[in-house]
Amino acid sequence: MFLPVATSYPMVSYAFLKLTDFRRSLTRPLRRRQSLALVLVLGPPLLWIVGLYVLPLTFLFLYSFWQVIGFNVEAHWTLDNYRQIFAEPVWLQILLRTVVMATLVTVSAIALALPLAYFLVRYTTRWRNLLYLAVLVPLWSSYLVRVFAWKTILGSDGVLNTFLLDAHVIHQPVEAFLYSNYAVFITLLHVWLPYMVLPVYAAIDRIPPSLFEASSDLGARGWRTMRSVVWPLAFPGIMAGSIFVFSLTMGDFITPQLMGNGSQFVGNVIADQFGVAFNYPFGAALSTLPLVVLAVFLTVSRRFGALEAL
Amino acid sequence: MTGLPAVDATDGRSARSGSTLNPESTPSDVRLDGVCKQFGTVWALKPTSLDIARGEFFSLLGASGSGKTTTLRIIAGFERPTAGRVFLRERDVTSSAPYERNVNTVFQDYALFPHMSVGGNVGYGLRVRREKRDEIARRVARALDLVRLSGYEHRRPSQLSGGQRQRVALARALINAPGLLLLDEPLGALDLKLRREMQFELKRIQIDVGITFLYVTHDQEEAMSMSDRVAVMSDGRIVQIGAPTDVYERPANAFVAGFVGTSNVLQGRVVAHDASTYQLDVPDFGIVSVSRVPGVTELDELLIAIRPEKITILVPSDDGRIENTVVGRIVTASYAGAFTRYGISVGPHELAVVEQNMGSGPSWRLGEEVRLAWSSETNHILPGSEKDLQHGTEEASASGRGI
Repeated sequence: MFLPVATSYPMVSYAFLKLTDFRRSLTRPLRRRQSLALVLVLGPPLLWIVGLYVLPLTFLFLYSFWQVIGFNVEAHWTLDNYRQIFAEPVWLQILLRTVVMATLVTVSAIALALPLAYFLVRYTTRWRNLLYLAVLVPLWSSYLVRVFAWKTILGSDGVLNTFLLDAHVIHQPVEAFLYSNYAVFITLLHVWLPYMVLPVYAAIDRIPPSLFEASSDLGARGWRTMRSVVWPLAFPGIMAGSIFVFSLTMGDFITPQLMGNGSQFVGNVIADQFGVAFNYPFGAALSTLPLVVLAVFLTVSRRFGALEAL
Repeated sequence: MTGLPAVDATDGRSARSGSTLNPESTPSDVRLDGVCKQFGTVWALKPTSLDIARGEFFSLLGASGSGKTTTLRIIAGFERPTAGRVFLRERDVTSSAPYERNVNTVFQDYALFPHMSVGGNVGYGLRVRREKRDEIARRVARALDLVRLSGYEHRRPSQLSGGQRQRVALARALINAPGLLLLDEPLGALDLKLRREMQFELKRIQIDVGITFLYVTHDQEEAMSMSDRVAVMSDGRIVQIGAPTDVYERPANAFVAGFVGTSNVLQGRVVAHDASTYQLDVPDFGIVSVSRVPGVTELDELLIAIRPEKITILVPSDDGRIENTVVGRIVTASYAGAFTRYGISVGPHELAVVEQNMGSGPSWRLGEEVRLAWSSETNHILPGSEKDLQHGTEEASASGRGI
């Protein structure tokens, strides 16, 4: 649109040329020195990572060696916070309970996601995108909505109790459906399941279909094909999903609060130290526990090449 | 489908086949009875019946979309036929799963398990059947020896060349001693030289192990050079079954004549006949004499095919003392080492003629006037129309290679 104007008026086109010159002069140092361009491109994300991730974590770690004196956190170096963790068995029990919960949720998610993803890849064509979307959609709704959805299912006036009462299986609402570790488990499994299905689906989708046929052709039934072909080839995806589900469960403190029977998980006690007790140093020391567990888990996963599949 | 006269693939043709194996006397390994396959509204395979004898090397030859791979997949058990029955060694396996059939497949992309070693791949079938470890090791070694890959047990498929992967796929299938081996374009991904080598190799192995091979290919040369019998497929049906010489020398119709190799096709009117020949008047060409064939009775218009290598090129003064001669002019010549391909114009017609290079280089120059001579027995009467011929030629060029 502007080009005809520019060419019909020499002055304008001159100005246009000047502008290009100006632009060139701006980018000249960039073209001359690639390192400068690199800094400009990588700088913002690097700042973001350092400023919003590395620094806070470092402060958190430093806090764990400080102490509360009066009502203030003071930089008096001490190992008391860690001593306290190992002195009272309750903290390690809580850690163990959390790890067991995270492991159960992860293993169950694998058990559900693997056949589901396999089915989607192998046996659906027309419905595939719709079913895939059905896995995805919960991720677009709020985490709290999904947790509360389970309250309406498991509560004493909930769907499950009402159904069982109507079917005369029970005569009084079962309170234990809600406010139990089972409820925490089911809710977490439901909330984090998509994070397992997506990488597992991607991994199985990458397996050439002829490998399934070859396995069957060589005499293997479904289970054998699952064990010898699908599992090993989808394993990086399974590990990738496990990292998601395991770490998300390890850090969760809202579901145990809303659905649990009061048993503490690591996330709860950390939140309590920061939010209720205002003991930041002890909270920081507790925070290192799941971090260590996750570091171990990630190191092991790396061995299996799971990080490449992310 | 084009207006081809129905060719009864099972009966008429196989009886005439010059195969070393006579299907009537050998027990049948594969029998398809009215098998067909429909995907949505598309017929991938129209009702087809087929008998493959034990120990036979049988090829399904056709362009892509002709139904050959569908046929193979139905026999392997990867597809359930829409109707019809599949018998393997007289056992009805129509609704059996692939692992319930005594059949193994060599896949087009080899389908080797990337997470297993060569030995792991080859021994997979035996491990599934819970054979003893030392028995598996022994048989893996023997199978690798058969495909000349001894000592490769511990390599990964990704470390092998295309030809080597192909052999691993073959060993993995053969180790289970199947009653029938299915090969789905197994040489398609290899380069020409390797493909030639593997053709010999496959034939050697087939004779070695004595297993029935069902070979799917779009490559005429592959089908011709290895097979005992070939089934030419088009548009989801078998158009001719026979020994390679049958299919080549006596194409059942114009489609096959156009699809397999090159044919000169002439159309003419019968003007006279005696006990053994018809005299055909081909417009702007001359009188051509053709051997009579049983089954063809009094017809006005005939379509005949002559293969390029059956025609002899002579100097115009030489009458050749052969039934059919015609004078033409060389318009194209392409030298191909062992032979030269000529295009020779006779009036409005152009004939393809192939001549062996017996001397040094091509014997004829462009523009030279020559006499063509061929015997009436090499003329072949074709049922079907010129349209079918074109259809065949197009499918042959679409599938890439011709003879």
